[in-house]
Amino acid sequence: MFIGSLVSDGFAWEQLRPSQLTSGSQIRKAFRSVVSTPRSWTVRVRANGKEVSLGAIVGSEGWILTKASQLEGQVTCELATAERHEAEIIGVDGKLDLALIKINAKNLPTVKWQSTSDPKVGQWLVTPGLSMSPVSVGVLSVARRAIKPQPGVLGVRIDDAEGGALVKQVMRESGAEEAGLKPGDVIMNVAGENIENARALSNFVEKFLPGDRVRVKVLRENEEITAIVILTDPQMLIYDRLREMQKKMGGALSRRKSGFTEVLQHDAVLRPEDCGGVIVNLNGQAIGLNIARAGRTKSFAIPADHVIPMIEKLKLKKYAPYNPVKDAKAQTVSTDMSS
Amino acid sequence: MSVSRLKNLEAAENSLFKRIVSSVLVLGVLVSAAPLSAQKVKVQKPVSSDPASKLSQVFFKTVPDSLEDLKQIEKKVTSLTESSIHSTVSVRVGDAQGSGVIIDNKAGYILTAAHVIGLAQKNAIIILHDGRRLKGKTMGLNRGMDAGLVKLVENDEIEIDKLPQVKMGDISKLESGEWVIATGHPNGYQSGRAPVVRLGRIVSRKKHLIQTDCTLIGGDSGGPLFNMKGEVIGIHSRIGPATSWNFHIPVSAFQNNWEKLVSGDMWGAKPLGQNAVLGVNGIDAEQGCKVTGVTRGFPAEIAGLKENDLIIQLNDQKITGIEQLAGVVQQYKPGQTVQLKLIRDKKTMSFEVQLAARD
Repeated sequence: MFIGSLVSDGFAWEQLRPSQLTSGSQIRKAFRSVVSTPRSWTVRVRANGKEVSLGAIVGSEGWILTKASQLEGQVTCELATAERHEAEIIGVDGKLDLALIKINAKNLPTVKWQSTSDPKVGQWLVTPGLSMSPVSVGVLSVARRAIKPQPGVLGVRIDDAEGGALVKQVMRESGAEEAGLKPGDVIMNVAGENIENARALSNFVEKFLPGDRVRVKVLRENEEITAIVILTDPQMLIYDRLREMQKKMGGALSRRKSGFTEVLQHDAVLRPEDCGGVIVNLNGQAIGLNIARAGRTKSFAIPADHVIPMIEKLKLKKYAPYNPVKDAKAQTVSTDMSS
Repeated sequence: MSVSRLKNLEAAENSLFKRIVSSVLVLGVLVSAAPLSAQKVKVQKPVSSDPASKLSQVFFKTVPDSLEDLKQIEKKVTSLTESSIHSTVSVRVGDAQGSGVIIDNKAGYILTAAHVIGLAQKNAIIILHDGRRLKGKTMGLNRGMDAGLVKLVENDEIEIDKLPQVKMGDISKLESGEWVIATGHPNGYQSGRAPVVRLGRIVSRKKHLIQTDCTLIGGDSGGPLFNMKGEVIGIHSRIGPATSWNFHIPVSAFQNNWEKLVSGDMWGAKPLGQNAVLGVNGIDAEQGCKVTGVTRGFPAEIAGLKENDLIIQLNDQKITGIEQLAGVVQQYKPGQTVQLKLIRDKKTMSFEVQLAARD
């Protein structure tokens, strides 16, 4: 580890420039011809004006698939042509975390899928955005496999109370904290289910996934208050220091990143808001839909053969119209909701 | 540069408190060196393969710039993934869990990281890429470099000499920009998931550390980094905050100390812990601290300090003697890199030293 005049003794080491990293701008530029068509099927999805995901145009009349758990409020789509449209949420599949949304447009270019065979491990997988260069590139890391569900939590420490569960502590950066729950609150009802005691609360909330929104009724100083809590991945709550380390070491992760029937794991470093659009091979064919940034080393895509059948099902409104708030038992996301 | 042992971050991802505690414990263990006798082990230094098959032109470019280039990379990478995955194993020693790579199926040698195995002569469980399990024994470890060796134990059910093995590569000509494949078991072994493949490039290359943008996490520790000939050139060791801060120890750390590792020797200081250490003995001198000895495997020796060097400055602080130097070192944390200015043969030189931890 010599420096300065001693370089000749060791070896001159050069540092690769950021643009020359695997996902750097210079290398992504080499992929421009790969995404020249796929980016025309891609939309930028915003919720209440904030970028939340990418989307894939799956029907020329304005049908768009995207990641469901990111959507809230007013949804808009921006096309590669820079046109902007308001979107309506048509249907949601909780198991795959997919939403079908609709914009008012005609003759849009649509996704060309490759669903007959999976890419080989080590093959390039490219995530187009709206720009000329892709947003990220990587390779297939693991052949397709199931990712078991990890139940969501409110983010509170609880104890038994009369007619509910007493909030003893609200975990930092949890959905409960965000929703304004406070120590001393008594949780009486979650998503339409009356809560008898602490254990009943834990058992019931386990049926939901991180990213799900649940309506929570609490008693605070003899007053009934309703809050909407976005469930949190318990991994991120155990220990403040570890959460901070994850943030520093891995970048932001998707809220919902488990419980998918089958995924293709790739190593492209994605922002959570760059999930929801297609991922293509070097031939520019869509082999799947990015669904989660799941860790420092991993991003997940749902394979095309799982995505395609969902399009028609969601169009037929076979699934309940999207209601982001799980406020009735019937809308509990269970792992056998689809298929 | 703040780096974290991969094991700590594994804890972050798994949030298993037990694992956190255990990783702290592993870092605090005091080691009594008890070299293993060479037993029936044939001490044979593994030979690097000759520079063989010709690589496509793209592998000599600063960046690929056409679809054809990308196809060439893909062709090469997909031709190497099978041998990379098949030679990668999961290594478990007590509570610690990491990865490793089979480099000799005659003697049953597996390269891994020192911080995965912790001590010599411990029982290890080795899980092959397909889930089959074997027993292993930990051999030598260079804790300063984070190099560790495991030997498979003969077994009636699995013929060790039929296991896939890979060669160690020649890293003398390794340059930044080279394409590399990383495999391992991020977050630990998961049944039904083969070793996980990542593609990246050499970001920088120092004598004792290779940096790549192959993203690593806890559980990957000890796993292999391959060049485009399918040879092991590095072993995953630690990470930093950015996703392009992934550090691997070069295989030269094994090649240069092969006999010691095989004999079960343990030496060197751990890179992370409570109190920083440089690893020099010295005396007060007129202008600074004169080095009377460097401790084997400790940061000063690794950085290239020698007896009779006169240390005159550490970062921006003047050095006036050995006690004062020790005090200055204590202002830093293990894992931090400091600049040492010294006089050797009447010439002023500068060294970068990454501080380690005192036991």
